[in-house]
Amino acid sequence: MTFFIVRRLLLIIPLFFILSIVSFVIIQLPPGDYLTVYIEQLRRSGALVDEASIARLVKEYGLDQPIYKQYFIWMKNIITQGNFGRSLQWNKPINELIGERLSLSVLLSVLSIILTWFIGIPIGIYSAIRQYSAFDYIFTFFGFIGLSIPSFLLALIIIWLVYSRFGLMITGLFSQAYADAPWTLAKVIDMFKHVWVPVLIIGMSGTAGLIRTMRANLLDELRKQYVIVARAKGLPERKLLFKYPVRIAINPMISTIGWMLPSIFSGETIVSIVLNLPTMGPLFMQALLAQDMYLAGSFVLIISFLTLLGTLISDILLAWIDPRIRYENVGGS
Amino acid sequence: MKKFLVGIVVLGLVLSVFAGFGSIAFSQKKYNEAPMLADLVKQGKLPPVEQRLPEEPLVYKEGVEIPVGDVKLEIGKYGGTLRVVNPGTPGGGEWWAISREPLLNQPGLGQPGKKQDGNVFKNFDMSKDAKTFTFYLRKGMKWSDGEPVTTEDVKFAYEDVLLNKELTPVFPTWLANSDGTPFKLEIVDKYTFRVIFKESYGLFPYTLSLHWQTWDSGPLLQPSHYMKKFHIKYTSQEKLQPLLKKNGLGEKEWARLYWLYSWEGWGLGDTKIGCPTLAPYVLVDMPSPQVAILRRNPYYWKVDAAGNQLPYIDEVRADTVTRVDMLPMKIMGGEVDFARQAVSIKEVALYKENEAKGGYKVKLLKFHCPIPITFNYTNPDPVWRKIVWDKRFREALNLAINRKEIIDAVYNGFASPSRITPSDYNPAKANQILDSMGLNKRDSEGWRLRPDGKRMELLIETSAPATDFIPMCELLVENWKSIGVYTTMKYVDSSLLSQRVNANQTQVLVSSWFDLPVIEGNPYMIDWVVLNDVQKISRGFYEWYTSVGKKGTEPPAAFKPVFTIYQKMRASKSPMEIKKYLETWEKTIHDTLFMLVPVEDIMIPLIVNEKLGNIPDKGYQIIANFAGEALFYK
Repeated sequence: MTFFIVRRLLLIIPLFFILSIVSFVIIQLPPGDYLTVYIEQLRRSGALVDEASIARLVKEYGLDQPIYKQYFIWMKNIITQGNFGRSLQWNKPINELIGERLSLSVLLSVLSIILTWFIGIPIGIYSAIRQYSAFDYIFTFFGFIGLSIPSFLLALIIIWLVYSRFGLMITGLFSQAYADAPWTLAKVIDMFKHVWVPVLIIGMSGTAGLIRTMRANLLDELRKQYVIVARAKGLPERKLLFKYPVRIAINPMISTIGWMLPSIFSGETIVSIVLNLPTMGPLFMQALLAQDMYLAGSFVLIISFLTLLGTLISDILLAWIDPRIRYENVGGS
Repeated sequence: MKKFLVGIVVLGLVLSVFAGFGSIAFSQKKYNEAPMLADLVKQGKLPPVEQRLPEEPLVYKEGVEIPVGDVKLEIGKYGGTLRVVNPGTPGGGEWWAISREPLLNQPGLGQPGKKQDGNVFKNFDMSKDAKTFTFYLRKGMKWSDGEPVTTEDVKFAYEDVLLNKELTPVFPTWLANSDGTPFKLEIVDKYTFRVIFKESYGLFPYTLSLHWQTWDSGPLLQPSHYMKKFHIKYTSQEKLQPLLKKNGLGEKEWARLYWLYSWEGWGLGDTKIGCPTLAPYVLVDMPSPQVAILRRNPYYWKVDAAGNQLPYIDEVRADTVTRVDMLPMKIMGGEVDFARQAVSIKEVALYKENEAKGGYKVKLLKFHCPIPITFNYTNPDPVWRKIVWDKRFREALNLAINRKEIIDAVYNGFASPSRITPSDYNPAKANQILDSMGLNKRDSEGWRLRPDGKRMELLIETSAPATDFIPMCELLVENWKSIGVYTTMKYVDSSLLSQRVNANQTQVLVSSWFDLPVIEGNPYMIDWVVLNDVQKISRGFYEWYTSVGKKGTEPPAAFKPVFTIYQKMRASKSPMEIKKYLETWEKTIHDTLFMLVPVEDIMIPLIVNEKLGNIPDKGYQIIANFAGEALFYK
């Protein structure tokens, strides 16, 4: 087991380097760079952009060095100081920008994942053991609706309904009175008044998916022989269900924990944009649109790193829960 | 009759003596201030208002910034917060325009032919040969931190910023002699200085009265006492080092640090908190990178007609939305008090419908930017180029533009046919012209053929900086197809488009604004929005113009005046001469059809809180924003 973990950890290092180069190159791919976008923007607002101001801007943003040099400086600072550089668009250190949004982003994602699991798993179990019952059909029906409505559209519809019916604005995470205030108990309460809308919307589509997976997995398990044997031996139905088939049916969820890590960091971009939430997703998208290469590069890098880490975690979890994987791996190496 | 006149004169004299006594009697308490500042004065944290204002503050009346007749200025009340919201980073057009304080000023967008009034500077004199300009600062005027504004600030801006190679890698042409050398600065005393050019430069005062120029600590005036702290000449490397490190900058990057802490450049950032300004509002806090809080400048140097120190409104809160599409929701939810830049005519019905719910008013005012159709006269295809250089071809295209349709379909009727371009609509005549110029052969699908047998094609490209661009292009495509010219349009991302323009690959662009009303008020704008814009004047001509004829393509005789008139205007000796050249320039654009402007006088909504006062009823939308210091809550 230890050997397995160490080997996987070591593999991450070269992968990380390749990823960092790929991220940096990807950011450079679209035509132009941050300055062309910025100069266009200035022109549109009616600013004078002559040779003199362009020459100054190039220096001001430190873009007068060749790409490879920019990459090495960027990487060096990340590794030695954990410093992701400066965002061109915000003119601020990236660590500060990300730090400010990280907690809200994580809070939102974790809440919606909890909501998803809280609703999804019980309903999935119910639907499986009462297959083709009236409630199974009802849940299936709503599940498919949840799956097929894009969550950003749902967000738009809810915003409009609430506005036109009650004249209320439900975008954002805080009322205006608290938006700029420092953290107090009142602000936390205010936030929880707003946070349910995005949590519900983001959770909705996830829930639908989870119900379907849980139902299918459990149905597969329920048909297996050990269930029949256990039932024949007279094990109480409830104990039987939760002790064996449910545990195995949850396995695929664990293997997706790894994919959840990056989405906890920056998930549901479009919903966040529609709801105007101060989370990571919109920041990432703006960075891409503005060709803010250090900020966008940092995002790509962090997300890829979290994916690597997440995959590792789910591998370890799976190996820990399911001895078959563990032994196969040892045998193979 | 004579007696009557004498009587009036005597009466007048007597009255003026009384008025004189009156002003002496009131001189104890001449000016009023906001309650929040009065409190600070009582606590001893701020000197009294008389000491904060300059000896002669600017009296804000009709005709100072807003033209007479566009608004009836009321004496406002103090207090309140102005909430503005902007896509992307905080600040944006609304904050930017409120903060503009040009060194000189003219009402509205400007008045060519008239001498500039003072604004930040009290006044100026131009020598007869228009080479020497003497500027007078306002005595006793102060930066927002209470330090006096003197010629020391001018000297610093000139010697240590403009002439510093690291801070100014390329010297701006509008401050240079025609050989590229910088102007000469002469400090006369604490409040007087001279700017001396080698040649006549009658347009110079216009460069200083343009609101668009970034004048907050602009190239001629910097808060030297504060900025010296970030300048390597006055602060040693060891002292700068901690700040450099804190901002993630390298050891040699003091220049980047300097810009970070100065008002140069755009946008709000927390490093700019504390940088002195002359604007009505001072940045005091950024609770997050998306929100900026600005509070009144206690040393603001303008008073209203009743002697109340401006601005009236206490605070500006600049918030952001992630995308411009989210702005309407915020406005309709009543979370925005003043929206100018990102509102478009397309959403006017939606805004109107929710006026009462959102507690705002929609005012339709004039937009200062019509959309031009510009041709790439230096396109590498010689046959195409020859056809487009032919005035008859452009005339035919212009005659085929159905302006009424554009006005109705794109602008809901809120625009009028252009004057800078002849605006007759006559497709039959257009067909005739095209036939007569040798484009009479057509292919099997009915499209006109060029002399070399290929189809005559026009590709319109746009990066659609606003919502009206694409529908307008669509109509142009239809109009031009109707006279047998095969036209297509393409939406191109703005960075890709500028790359294509720089590589000289485009044909027709409908992708920029042509600030014609601004040019008509202040002809210096020609240099900005026409001569320095590759999109408008073609890649080859741009190179020719910026390299002073050494590189690029030389424009044909017909187009040359577009460039040369501006040079003559720059070197003219009086405002009247400038006005004359401006008229010639406009006539050149009109007669040569260098670019085609389909419609002018576009109306655009301005969204304001229904309780806001001193909003103009007429004139240009952006002027209402420039005049932000006079806004107040009723």
